[in-house]
Amino acid sequence: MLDTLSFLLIDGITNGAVYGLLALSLIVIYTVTRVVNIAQGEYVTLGALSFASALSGSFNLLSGLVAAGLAAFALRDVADKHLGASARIRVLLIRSAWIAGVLATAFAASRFPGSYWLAVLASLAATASLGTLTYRLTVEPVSGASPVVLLIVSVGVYMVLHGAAVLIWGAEPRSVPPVVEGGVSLGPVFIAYQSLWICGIAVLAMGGLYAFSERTLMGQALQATAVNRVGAQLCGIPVRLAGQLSFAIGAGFSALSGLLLAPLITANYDMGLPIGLKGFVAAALGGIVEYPTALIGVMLVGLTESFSAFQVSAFRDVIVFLMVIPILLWRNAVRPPEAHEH
Amino acid sequence: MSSRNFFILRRTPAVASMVTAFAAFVFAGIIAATGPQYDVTLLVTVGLTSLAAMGLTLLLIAGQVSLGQAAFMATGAYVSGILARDLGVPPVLALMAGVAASAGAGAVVGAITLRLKGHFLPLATLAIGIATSAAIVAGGSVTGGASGLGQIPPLAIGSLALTDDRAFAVLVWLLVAVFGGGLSRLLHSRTGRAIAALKTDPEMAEIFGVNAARLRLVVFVVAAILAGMSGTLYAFYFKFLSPAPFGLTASVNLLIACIFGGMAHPFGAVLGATAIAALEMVLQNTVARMLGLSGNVELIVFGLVLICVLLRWPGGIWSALLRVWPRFSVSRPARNIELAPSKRSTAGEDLLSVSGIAKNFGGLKALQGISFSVGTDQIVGLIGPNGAGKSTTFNIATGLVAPSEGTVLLMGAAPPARVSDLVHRGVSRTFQHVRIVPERTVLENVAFGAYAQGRSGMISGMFGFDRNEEAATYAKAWRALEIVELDGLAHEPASRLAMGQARLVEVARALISRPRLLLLDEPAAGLRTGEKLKLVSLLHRLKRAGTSVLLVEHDMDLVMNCVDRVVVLDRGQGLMTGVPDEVRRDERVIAAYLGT
Repeated sequence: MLDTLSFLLIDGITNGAVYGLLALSLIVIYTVTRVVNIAQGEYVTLGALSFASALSGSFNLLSGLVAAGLAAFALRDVADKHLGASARIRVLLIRSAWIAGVLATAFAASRFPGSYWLAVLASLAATASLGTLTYRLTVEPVSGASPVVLLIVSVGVYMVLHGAAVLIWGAEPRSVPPVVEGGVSLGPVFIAYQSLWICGIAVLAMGGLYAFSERTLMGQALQATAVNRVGAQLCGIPVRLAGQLSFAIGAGFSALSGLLLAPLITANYDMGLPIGLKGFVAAALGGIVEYPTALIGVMLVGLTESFSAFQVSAFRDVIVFLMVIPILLWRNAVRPPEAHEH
Repeated sequence: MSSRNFFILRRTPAVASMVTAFAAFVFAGIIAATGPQYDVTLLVTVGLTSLAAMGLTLLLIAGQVSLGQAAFMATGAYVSGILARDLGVPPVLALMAGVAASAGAGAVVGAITLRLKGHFLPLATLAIGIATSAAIVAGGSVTGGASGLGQIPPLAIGSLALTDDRAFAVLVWLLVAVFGGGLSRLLHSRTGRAIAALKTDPEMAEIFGVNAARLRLVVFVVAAILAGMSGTLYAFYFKFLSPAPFGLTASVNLLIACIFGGMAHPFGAVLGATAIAALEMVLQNTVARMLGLSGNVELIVFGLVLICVLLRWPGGIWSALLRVWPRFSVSRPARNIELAPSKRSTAGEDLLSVSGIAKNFGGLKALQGISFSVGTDQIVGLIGPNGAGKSTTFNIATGLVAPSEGTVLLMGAAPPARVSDLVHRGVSRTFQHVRIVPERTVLENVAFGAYAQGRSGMISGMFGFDRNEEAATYAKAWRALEIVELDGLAHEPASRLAMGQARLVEVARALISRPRLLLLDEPAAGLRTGEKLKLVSLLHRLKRAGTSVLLVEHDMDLVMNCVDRVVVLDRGQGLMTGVPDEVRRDERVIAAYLGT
């Protein structure tokens, strides 16, 4: 009994950590841009699949596409007639370095197949950049539209990314190796090293984001935009840059959770959506706007999921999802969200 | 934008809805009668999607977003399917029971979740939607689980069974036409104006007598009924149910239909559902058959079209069509009517009397010992520097905020417990920050002010039993616009008004509720000098017609020119009360304003 219990506990915490990264992605994107991003789970898929192909030594097609997109926007930005000469050169340099980074990591990963961290880097560079592209293509032009329109646009993004994932990688699942094979036995309980890695990296990533948003100017700008868009704009905070940044962070974190989770469930084109949805639930528990409460939320979702799977498996999802209602009611009573965004 | 076609119909904008509904029905009827079988099935599917999506559009217009609308379709479908198949209930009764069950589910879910604010509501409905489809899978012994529920009997009345697919398509589109036309008409009725006001600002809606919580619930239930109707018809058409068509994807697809088509109008949902089906058909024919590409390319192209259309027209296809579509408004009536207070006050009676009120926010004493009154046929000005407590006094006077000490009497009684009862007391107000419905015409914004005097509800709004009441309301709205001299702008969308004009529209909206006491919160802010003079003469005319006014204002000249008495506040305390001349000379007042 005790070993079953601790097995479920570890399983739940591992799931919780993955959902946590997802919830964090959703929260960062929602607070800064007001996009309830239905496409979030696709970055999980893309992260895992591009990691798999980088690891196998083939050039990651996603990196190429993303670099092309970045280049197109770079041309437009450099051609901006409001820019002075020095600013133009600065923009050109930054964009070139960025594009070079995405391509270089992808090339390096294909030159040294099997090098784990190089593949991670290539995958994250591609997906995070894809996030900024998504923002510039689909959010920036309609940033004033009502949130429900932004939501439906993100459904469109989901369709494109989902279809693209199948076109690039096909429908067959790919097995992905863990960071370190094997695991450790604590008495009767076996813990896969990958579970530990997932939890460790999730904690590191969340801590990193926290430090970033508290300690750096960029992070402060992100927070200010999240609190009050118009106010931030009036204070000279580049709201569009904050939007791009939030999408980069959101996409990167989701991709990270995807490539970490892949060894446990194999990477496939359909893995993203259910994980994205659970991330939604977790984020909802935190009211989508608060990091710490969302963490309690993700652990609750992870644990409930693995325990109810063991107890009454048929009603597992019913329980997980209905749990949201009382917690939302409670959150609404304690600290309601702003009623109007406009 | 002003180059748009402009049709002003003598009756109401509802004529347009009727024509559109009829055209949609005839078009569908022709396809049903002549098209191949495949098209008929498609027609039924599009009709059923439209029906449910229309309800969702109504929700969106009321400012609510549901990501779980398919759950109500599922409720209707499974309840009627199980009743008709397993319990031998006659199909027509089963159909009604299915719709009733959806309504019930809508009422329960609505009652629980509608107090949720902001993005909590879509999240809650998302969760309920997913939980419902998961429950259908899990409850396999009753629902057939993932493998489905087959052999549902056809829809029949007695021995007369509706087995012909074409007839079924006609039935579905008849409902689409009736409810689409009805909902479009509803939008421009008394209830429709309240729904639009609810989205703009619930507190403002309540000032004019709308019970916001109740109306929100009613709208939610109507949306659930339409979804349920769509679900039951689905069950009787396909005679087979499985959880898949009622999952998250279905809910999201309904929302796509609404937004893609245009969420400003119920026929936007029909347009969206039709456009999506047409797009899918075209993609299947070109991408899959002609180019031989996989289904994923279809998905990508569909996504791209969705994104591009919404980036170009965030208001959906409907908003693109609206550019060439005539706009409809209500013409000026021939007769002239009086717009006097509903009840004449007896002389000497105090309409508002505030005595010794104080308000503490925690340790902060915002107000202390304020007393004043507004009598019959009086204009009273409430002035004071910023932070003097004017707004708090104003809110206490209308019962929005309860005082920590002291009493407030409105028409001789304590302020009503519910804000929505204020207007029945003969009190109306304007707002410091203009709260009008930007997407409606000036005339409609003013007409909303008469909400409390009307009786007609949802049904009469949908099916046109409110003609006389509407005619009277619009006659009053025209009169109110003439009084504030804005009748030339009656057909303009309120979003195009300048600040000063918008404030006067608020005054007209308050006037049409025929108040005995009118509370104006900084009505002159943003007005030009000429407009201010007009405002002063307007206030004098109102007073002569028997309306008393409490005026909170910064503009000293304006206040001194029109009020009978001035109440001066400073730092939360009553500095003095007197006639304008006294106040003007008072040294304490001068000190408070100019600093010593």
